[in-house]
Amino acid sequence: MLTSLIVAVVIIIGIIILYNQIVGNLNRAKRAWSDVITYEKLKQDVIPQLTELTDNFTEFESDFIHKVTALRESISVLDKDEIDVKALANVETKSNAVFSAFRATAENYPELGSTKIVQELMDEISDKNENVAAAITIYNRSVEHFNNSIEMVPYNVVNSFFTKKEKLDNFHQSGTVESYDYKPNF
Amino acid sequence: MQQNSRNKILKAHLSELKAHAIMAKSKDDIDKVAQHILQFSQRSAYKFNHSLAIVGFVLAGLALLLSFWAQMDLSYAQRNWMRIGGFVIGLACIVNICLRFASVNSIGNQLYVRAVAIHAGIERDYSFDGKTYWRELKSIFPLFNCGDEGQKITKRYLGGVDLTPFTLFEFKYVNVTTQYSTDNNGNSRASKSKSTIYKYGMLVQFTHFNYISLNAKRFSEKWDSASRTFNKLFKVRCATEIQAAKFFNPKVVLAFADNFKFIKSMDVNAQSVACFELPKSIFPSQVKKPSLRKQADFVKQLQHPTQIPMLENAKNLLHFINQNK
Repeated sequence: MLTSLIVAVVIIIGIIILYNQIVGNLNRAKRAWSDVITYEKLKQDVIPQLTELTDNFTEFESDFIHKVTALRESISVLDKDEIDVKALANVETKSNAVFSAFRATAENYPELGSTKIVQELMDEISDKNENVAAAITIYNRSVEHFNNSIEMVPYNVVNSFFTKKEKLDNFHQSGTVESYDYKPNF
Repeated sequence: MQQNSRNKILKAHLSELKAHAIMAKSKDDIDKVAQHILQFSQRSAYKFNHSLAIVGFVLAGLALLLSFWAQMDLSYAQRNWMRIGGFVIGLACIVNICLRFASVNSIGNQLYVRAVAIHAGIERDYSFDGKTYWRELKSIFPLFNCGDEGQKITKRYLGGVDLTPFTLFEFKYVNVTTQYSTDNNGNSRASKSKSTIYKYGMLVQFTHFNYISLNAKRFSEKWDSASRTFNKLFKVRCATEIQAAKFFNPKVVLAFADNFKFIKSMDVNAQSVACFELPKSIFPSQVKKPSLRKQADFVKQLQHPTQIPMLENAKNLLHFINQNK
């Protein structure tokens, strides 16, 4: 009787520990996602400067302003509380389009590229992009850890009976690996 | 006579090398020493002539053996004196040979470490009193508040990155543990055992960087990041959470978790002096050293000394902090 009681208590404590670890890992992944969104939204800081530049310099392509507007719209869709890697991928694609066009124009027109305001803006964009990339890396690691914690034994048992959490999606940039011949078979 | 002078010449040459190992300041100085070694190696090898010591050792051994030979007409006291004399002379001869061996190795090592330090852009500093310096540091950083006896800063190197001066230090202290045991008769006995421990690190004078400590309890506020790896490696304490959050943006967090995980602790005082505890491989004396007995290889390595990867990483860290603080 006493032995059964001790075993039951140990099992309950074990379940509580595993349950809390799963919840903790999910919350960490959510926090990492929140950081990604925060730094992604900080990119909006440079948008007014970009539009101002476009107004002042005719060297920019005519559709540059449309790309900037599309980026602004895609960023506004992002939600800190809801993990949506597709929306994030959309923002990243649009942001890459804007910043690549900006860089290309600055390189093609040296008199524009050498101005202080453009140099400063490029540095700021680069810094923000690095922070978003780092935040995404941290998010992906948190997701991997969370997914492991709901799939590995004995966490999967606790998850299927108690926490009932779904796997999270890793973020990956579209257009980076699709052209590769090699496809992993997992 | 000639052999005696060979030892004298080698001894004098080693003294010169030792002086260079302390005085050399630049790559040119090291190149001059390398040429000096090459010239010397054409005349003589870096080996002492041990003939006298070997003869002494053999004679001492003979004396020891004869003292046990019963047919020798010697008194008990004479036999004892022969044994003691034989043992002492034999031991002295072996010690002499070992010391000469060690002196060649030691001077070669000192010279190479000097070359490595010059190559890494740091300079050995002798102008401090180890005990006083330790007391000074102890009053600023709790890292130095450990050990039971023999605490002192044993070595110090000075350097700089981006106009940020740093000091590498080797901190030595002794831990004494007392164990009590009771024998079968009920008598208790206390035995002390001592262990010498070394800590290595870097003191850095930053500007306006006095609000974050890692794995050190300098501040009361705690902060953690979204990265599990970072949180496992570093316990961050800060003056205010907003300062920590501002400094530790995702780029910095990722860099600390991936590139700067070698930091054992980082403490800062109000004057922005940071004290990093780092692995021992940061010190030039920890590099693998070539042997002075193989002159060609030694000279080649002396002229192109190895880098200290840990020191280069630490320099990158300082550069990174300066850029992101």
